[in-house]
Amino acid sequence: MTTKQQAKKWGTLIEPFLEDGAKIMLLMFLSLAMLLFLIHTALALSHRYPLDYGEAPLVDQAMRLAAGQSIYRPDLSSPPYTISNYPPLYPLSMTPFVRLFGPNFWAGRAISLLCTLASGAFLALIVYTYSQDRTAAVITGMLFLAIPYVVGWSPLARVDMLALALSTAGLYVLARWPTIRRGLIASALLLIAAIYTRQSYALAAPLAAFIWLWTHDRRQALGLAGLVSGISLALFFALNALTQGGFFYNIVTANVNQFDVERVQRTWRNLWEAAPVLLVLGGVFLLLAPRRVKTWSLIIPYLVGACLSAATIGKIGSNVNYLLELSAALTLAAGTLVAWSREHRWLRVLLLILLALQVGQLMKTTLEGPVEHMKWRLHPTKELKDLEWIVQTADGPVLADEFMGMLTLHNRSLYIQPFEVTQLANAGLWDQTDLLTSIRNQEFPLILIHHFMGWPVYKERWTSEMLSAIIENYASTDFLAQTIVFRPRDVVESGPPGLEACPGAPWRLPTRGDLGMWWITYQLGIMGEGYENTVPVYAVADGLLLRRSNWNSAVAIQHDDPVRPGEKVWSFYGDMADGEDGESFIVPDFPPGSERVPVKAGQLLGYQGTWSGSPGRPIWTHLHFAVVPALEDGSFPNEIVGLVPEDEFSPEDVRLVPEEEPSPKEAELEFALDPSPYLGTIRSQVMGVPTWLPLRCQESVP
Amino acid sequence: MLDENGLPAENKSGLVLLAVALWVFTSVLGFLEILTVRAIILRIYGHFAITYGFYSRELQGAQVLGMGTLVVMGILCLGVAIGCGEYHLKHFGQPQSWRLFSRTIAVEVAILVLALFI
Repeated sequence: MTTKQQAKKWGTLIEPFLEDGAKIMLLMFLSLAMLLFLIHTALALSHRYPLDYGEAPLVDQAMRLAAGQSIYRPDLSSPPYTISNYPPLYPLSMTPFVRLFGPNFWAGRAISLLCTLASGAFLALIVYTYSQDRTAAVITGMLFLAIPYVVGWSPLARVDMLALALSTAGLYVLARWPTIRRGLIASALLLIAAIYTRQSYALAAPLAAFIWLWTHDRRQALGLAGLVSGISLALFFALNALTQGGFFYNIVTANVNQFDVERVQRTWRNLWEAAPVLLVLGGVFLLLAPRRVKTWSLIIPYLVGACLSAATIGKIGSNVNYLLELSAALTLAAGTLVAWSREHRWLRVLLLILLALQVGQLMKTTLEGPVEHMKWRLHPTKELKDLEWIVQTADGPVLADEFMGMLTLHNRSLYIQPFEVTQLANAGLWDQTDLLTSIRNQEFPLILIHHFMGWPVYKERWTSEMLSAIIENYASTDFLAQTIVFRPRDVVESGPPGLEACPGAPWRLPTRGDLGMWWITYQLGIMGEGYENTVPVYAVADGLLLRRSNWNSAVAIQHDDPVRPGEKVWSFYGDMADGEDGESFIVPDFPPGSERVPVKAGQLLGYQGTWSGSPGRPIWTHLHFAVVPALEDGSFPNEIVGLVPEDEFSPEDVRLVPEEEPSPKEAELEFALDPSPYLGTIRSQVMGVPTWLPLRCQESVP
Repeated sequence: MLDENGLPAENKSGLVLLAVALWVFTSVLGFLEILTVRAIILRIYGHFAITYGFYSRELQGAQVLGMGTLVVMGILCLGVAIGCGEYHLKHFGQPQSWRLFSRTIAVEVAILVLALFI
């Protein structure tokens, strides 16, 4: 026997074992991926509060439908400033649940979950119908559920999974019964239902259905095209007439957002990182399938259409839901290739191993993406309850973005969908003057603006005019679940103060420190919640204010030292400036060059800033506070370690140990004094190393 | 000349050696992978639950989970090693024995590969 024959014999011998092993490996990976999917979904379903910006508007629409109101208003000249971006099928499906159980998120999420499972099942059935390969079908269905975009989106009360389930059902019906008239009608109705759930589903699935039928029976194809387009257009004109043009305005005009090519590139880069094997297999399918795979005329147009749909992710405000159809198409292509490779065993082994590696990468992306995101959304339970209570007890209309669902949970309709109207305002299609007037008149008891760390989404959700009006007329009073709570300045400034001073402390607190304070060897970085120039800074005690001519962001006040009677001491307030350009937030009463200006305890000095010491490097809103010993003549010392008003407030400035042992008086002059006896706040025993502390009074330390 | 399992007698000793080597390899690898499985489970738990690292309350849960995993996996590996040993002994040289080897190796390789991703 030759070597070649021997190799062939061994190959034939181990082929089935390799295929079996590769299959086991892939199924094991897919099972773990299913487990992640299920845990993620269970967490989402049991969460009471909104998980996504887009959930509350749909609940709001279901509430309006349940009350017999139109959700497609033809103009937005008066409140509520809400938009129904999508056709009505999904909010209609939620309406019975809203009627029966009141406004909630779980019903919509449950619908999405069931639809996700149904989509996976339909994709599997499409593969099985033409291959009779159960393994390939199971792999297709499970692979779809392993994709992070599907995991992340499936438990949200959003329109997408219902639309996808309807469109994949339509494709399955056609794949199963391509030449039967009843199949054609059923498929057309399902595709229309998908379109009337989300309008972008008018592309990929109908295109695939048409071309698939065209390769079987051209009359059937034309029949399907006629049915889908005829009924869709008839419904469109009927709804548009019923809503006096509101339907077109809401689902077309209000959806034309700015397009950002960079966003498309970023999305595709992320997709390539998450699913390289699926993308390559999709490409291979496009090239090789037409001559080899029976269902090519269904899957290739679906893949191409889904790619085109996915490209619209460049619209500002879009999310990974634009990739769901593409996810379905890619899994369909991969599953079909697995089925096709049944007669090419080595190729099948290779495919199974590649797909196992792909599932591993998908799980990694799922854990680092949707799962982490979900964890941080669920985590601040107490803060979410507090936020709900604050919204619940607010008397009057509330403006909110990410957490507008707090309103619908209490059966309150939305006053505004800030992102949508901001996009309309930016496009010159909506006049925001009335809303700005209302903000300036402080007509809203609460405004909630959510902050995603490191990602200024609020700038897409609120126009710069709205943000300016809010900052000028409202003060931030709380920071809960990453959301800044703004209340009217008139109310805040006339109302009862928060924690102003610690009991028994000689000085009041200089500012709010909702986030706590950095303790850097006797100097404090007190961090309030809110935008720069919104969190007030006050004089801690009566004294004489100094603002040297080169101090842009700082002032200091000389006091009689309450801790060391007979001596003078300075309170220092720094970093009250814009982190980008250094614009000062010190009130005009104290211009540069001010000396010995009398101030009273509690007098407003300025606002917390984001100045870090150098322009263009803003840090979180904060006040740099220190207690500084006076020189012999009572003047402010020039040489305090780490206390250079216009320089960076950084731990590097603070030496752990002085280079030479200074005398006690020199040490006092070299370093700031411990602020704890003056403010009554807790202190750190750690010197030289920045330590994070809550801003608490000493008495409240357990 | 064939033995009672229908195998060529002259190859039998080689096959016995191969089967024993595979059983020892899969059993030892199985025991070694207990720690890998524990790490995978803890990493998944961490992604879902742990928020503030060393100081989080969930860390205690992770410790319990880690210890529980060790116990369960230890018992499981012992059972698999003994059970597979019995099975291979009973079905020596038969396709189902080799299939079990291939599946055991596949699962163990899958665990190792999984640890690269999670």
